[in-house]
Amino acid sequence: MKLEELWRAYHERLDANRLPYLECKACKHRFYYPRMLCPRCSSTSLEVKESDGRGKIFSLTRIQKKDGGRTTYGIVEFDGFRIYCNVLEDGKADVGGDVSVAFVELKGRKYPVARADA
Amino acid sequence: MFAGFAGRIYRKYEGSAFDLMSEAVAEALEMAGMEMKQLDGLVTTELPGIFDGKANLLMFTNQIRQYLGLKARYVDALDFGGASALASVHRAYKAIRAGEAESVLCLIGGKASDVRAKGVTVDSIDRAYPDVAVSPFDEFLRVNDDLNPVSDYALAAFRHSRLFGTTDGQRATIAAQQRFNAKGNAKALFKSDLTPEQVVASPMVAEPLHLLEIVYPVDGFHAFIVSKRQTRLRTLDILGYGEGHWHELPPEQEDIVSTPAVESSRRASFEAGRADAYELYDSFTITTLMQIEDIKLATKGKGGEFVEKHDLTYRGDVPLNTGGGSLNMGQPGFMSGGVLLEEALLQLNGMAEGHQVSGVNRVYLNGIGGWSRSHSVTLVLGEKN
Repeated sequence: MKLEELWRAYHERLDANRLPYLECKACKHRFYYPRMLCPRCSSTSLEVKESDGRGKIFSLTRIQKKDGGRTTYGIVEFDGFRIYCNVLEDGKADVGGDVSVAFVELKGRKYPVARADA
Repeated sequence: MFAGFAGRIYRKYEGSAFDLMSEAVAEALEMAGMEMKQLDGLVTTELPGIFDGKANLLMFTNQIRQYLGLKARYVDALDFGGASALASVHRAYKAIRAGEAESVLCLIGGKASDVRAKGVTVDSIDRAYPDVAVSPFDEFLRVNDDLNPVSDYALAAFRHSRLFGTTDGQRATIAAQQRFNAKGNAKALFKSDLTPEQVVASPMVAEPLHLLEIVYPVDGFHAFIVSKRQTRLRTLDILGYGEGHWHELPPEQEDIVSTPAVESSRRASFEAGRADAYELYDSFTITTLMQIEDIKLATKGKGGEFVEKHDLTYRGDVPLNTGGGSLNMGQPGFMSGGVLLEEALLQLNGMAEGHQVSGVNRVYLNGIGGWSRSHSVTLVLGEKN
């Protein structure tokens, strides 16, 4: 699959509130950031799959905004792959904490964020 | 191997980056007792925005040589950000040994103030220049509300704390001890007293990193003339050299609490403990802390204990960032490598007035580049036995 097709496949799923990822049919490696070859074994035999949306926080940081607000940003591990995303939380989220994927709209497109479990 | 060197740093330089660059080159030539026409090589680096706010200089090594009037037979351009300076010296050294040049200008720097004025840093340059890409994954990466590069190093620092119990106070110790060194350095930008408590009390920027743990981007250039010529400077050699280049984005790395200094230091094959002084990249306190572990001054996870147990000042048992580092000199053109290298040469030549480490024969340098910590270069300078 070429990048353009991958992007389309990703956007279709994200817009439907589903979190896509790529799995290599050759070595089973899973990754999120789309490219046409597996970063582990270079196979071009890849499949777009959908995550169950349950994840754990790998790391996070609370960013102080210039307008006085705060946003939480992190690396989150879903089923076998990790992504950078913002984390919706109440200040108590921590490394290892459970999250569920949620989606935010930006310029007409949806993108994943993680919502910390209460 | 060094005929001359110079560093010119300004909080905000009133003039073109080309003028600022020329100032540094002229000063290095003066120290070397050389003229421009005696240079026959150039190794340099570019980042978007650092030449008078331009997103890109097409064929930038040409533009630099056109401005300087530098007739070269060896030209090389590096793309390792903060790690470029240390690599440029090695490229020049190899070219000279191969007979491809005699005297090579290594030129590193730029103006950060024009980028700063747009409210971004080079690592978030796409927020000011939409046609600049920062990764092949921007479509799904740059939708996040982040604060690169600070937030990315904050993620490393946060996880380091959770995995190893590293405290804010331990990281702050690095900043405070570097400030002590800066107080003896006439060229330092920040010289007021600073305690670890004051570092921790400074505004939180991206948890756990506070304002005074973060480098301030400034305008500046460093020029180093690597040459066969004997000058009044001490005859030095490369005692160890290694590069490490990681291709994975941090989420795709096995873990995020190390830097490619793990690899570059191993390739340098020089036991870190044998050096007399250390110049380790200090874009953030956590950058320095991770390198202390990665070059094996301390085992992974024990960097925090290490900085508490040792005296990192220029008078201490582990002199580290002996001129105050770029945390106190400022970070010229978003790259600290020139700051590290200039300080190492001052130390090795007994020219570090006010912050001279006594008996310096070997300096261990490590540079890091990229918001995702993609590059590391280890360079050990000293006299060959």
